Amino acid sequence: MRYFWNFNIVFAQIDLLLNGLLLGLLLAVASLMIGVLLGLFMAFLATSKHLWLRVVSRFYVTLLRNTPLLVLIFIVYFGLPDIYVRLGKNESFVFALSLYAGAYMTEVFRAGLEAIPKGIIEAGQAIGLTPLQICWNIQLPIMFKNVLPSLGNYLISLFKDTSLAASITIPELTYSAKKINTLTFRVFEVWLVTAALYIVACYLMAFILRRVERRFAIQ
Amino acid sequence: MDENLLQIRGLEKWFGTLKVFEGVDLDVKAGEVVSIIGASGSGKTTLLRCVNLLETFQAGTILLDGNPVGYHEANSKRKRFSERVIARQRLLTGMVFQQFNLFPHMTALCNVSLGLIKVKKLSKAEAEKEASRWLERVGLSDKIHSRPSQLSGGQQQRVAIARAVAMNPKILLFDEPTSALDPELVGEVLNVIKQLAADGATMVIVTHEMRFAYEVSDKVVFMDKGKIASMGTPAEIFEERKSDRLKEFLSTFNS
Ligand SMILES: Nc1ncnc2c1ncn2[C@@H]1O[C@H](COP(=O)(O)OP(=O)(O)OP(=O)(O)O)[C@@H](O)[C@H]1O
Ligand SMILES: [Mg+2]
Repeated sequence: MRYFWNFNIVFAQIDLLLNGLLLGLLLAVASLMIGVLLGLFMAFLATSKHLWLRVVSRFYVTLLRNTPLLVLIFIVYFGLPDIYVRLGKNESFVFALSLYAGAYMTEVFRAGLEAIPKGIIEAGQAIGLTPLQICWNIQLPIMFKNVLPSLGNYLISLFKDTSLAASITIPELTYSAKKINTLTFRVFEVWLVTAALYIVACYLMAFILRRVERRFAIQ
Repeated sequence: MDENLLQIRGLEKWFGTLKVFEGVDLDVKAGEVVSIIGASGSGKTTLLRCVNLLETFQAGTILLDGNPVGYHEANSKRKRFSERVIARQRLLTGMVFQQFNLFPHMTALCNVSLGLIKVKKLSKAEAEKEASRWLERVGLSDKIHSRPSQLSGGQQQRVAIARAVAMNPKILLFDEPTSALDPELVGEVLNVIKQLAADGATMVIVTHEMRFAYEVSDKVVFMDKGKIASMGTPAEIFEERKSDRLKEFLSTFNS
């Protein structure tokens, strides 16, 4: 038996796939940005001197890190309307993915903040900087420089996680592939092209991020 | 001037249940150079950190330029000033740390100009002019755009000194400024400090460099177990060696 490859039928729909890829990227970038803000906030709570603030941060991280992303997406998308919070599909997904990313970012940022030697912060205090000025001019820049590689890698990981948006019928890459699959029945071809698109996109992102990192390292 | 720039009275400090100070009194007059010597763990670093308000203290007062710093009385209760007020009070002192503690993500110039811009509110151009003037004074005019990781220990410590003096503090505090340096780099840093002393800066220097303390100080303080055990001119401390503890301590240094 021979399998007759037919990629043309898939390539005819390539713009559907490319649009899906772009949407996935947007979802990932939006979630990363909100996740970074959330993670920063929670990381500062985690390094606070007040016990209850640390508990809040710990609670959030533990809860979110131990919930499967798909379950989280379902809770947000199907659960929130029941308590009269209505969000669109994309908003629901970004909300869920941000919460999820925020928990991971909290851990990354907390470690990054704790890695800054105490003496450097004291040197800032000694020249009369206020706590806010120390945070903005010393802690954040040093921390970001240290965590930039993890941040870049995590963006790629988040981008792959956007394939879960197919589960709530958001037309990103995986969902679009499924649609073409149903129309054409070229199972192998569709999914191979889809995988190739993910691989190329992730590889390109890694390449660009590494250049950006190097720039920051030199500066 | 006969005014005390720094006046410490009855200072007491605990770390948890460990009592570090039992009523320390110390006066430093304008233009004076005071060295603090003493065995490891006697409280030298902690004393400087109290003056710079990096540590809390439980009793006693510290007056800088006549005003109490760190704590004030409110409804007959002792209260620590807010962080903002403390940040302002810290401007009276400049601190040079044993480990340099430069900001690793900034050039030498930015390390020195940051406080001038953010705290003294100078314009960027003015601040950088002032900062490069100080970097020149410590002999680093060719290194103003280098990062700490590109500098030797001695150069880093000189940047740290420039960073402290650029803020124009009334008193400079040095905590073992050469202890983290390779022996061949000690001299360049001590020379910078001597130059500042010659220019009339008021300084308190914790050091294990006995010859340097002898040469540069107006007054030497010997600390022992959280107390000031002896105090006097360099000649009194190093030559007369009045107490047994002092003799014992100095005999561990062969100079
Ligand atoms: N953060 C801290 N927590 C608890 N105890 C501390 C702390 N810092 C210092 N101590 C204790 O306070 C005492 C005084 O320490 P300090 O660092 O002031 O000594 P030192 O004279 O500077 O010593 P060295 O010459 O080794 O630098 C020591 O017994 C030390 O163990
Ligand atoms: Mg010490």
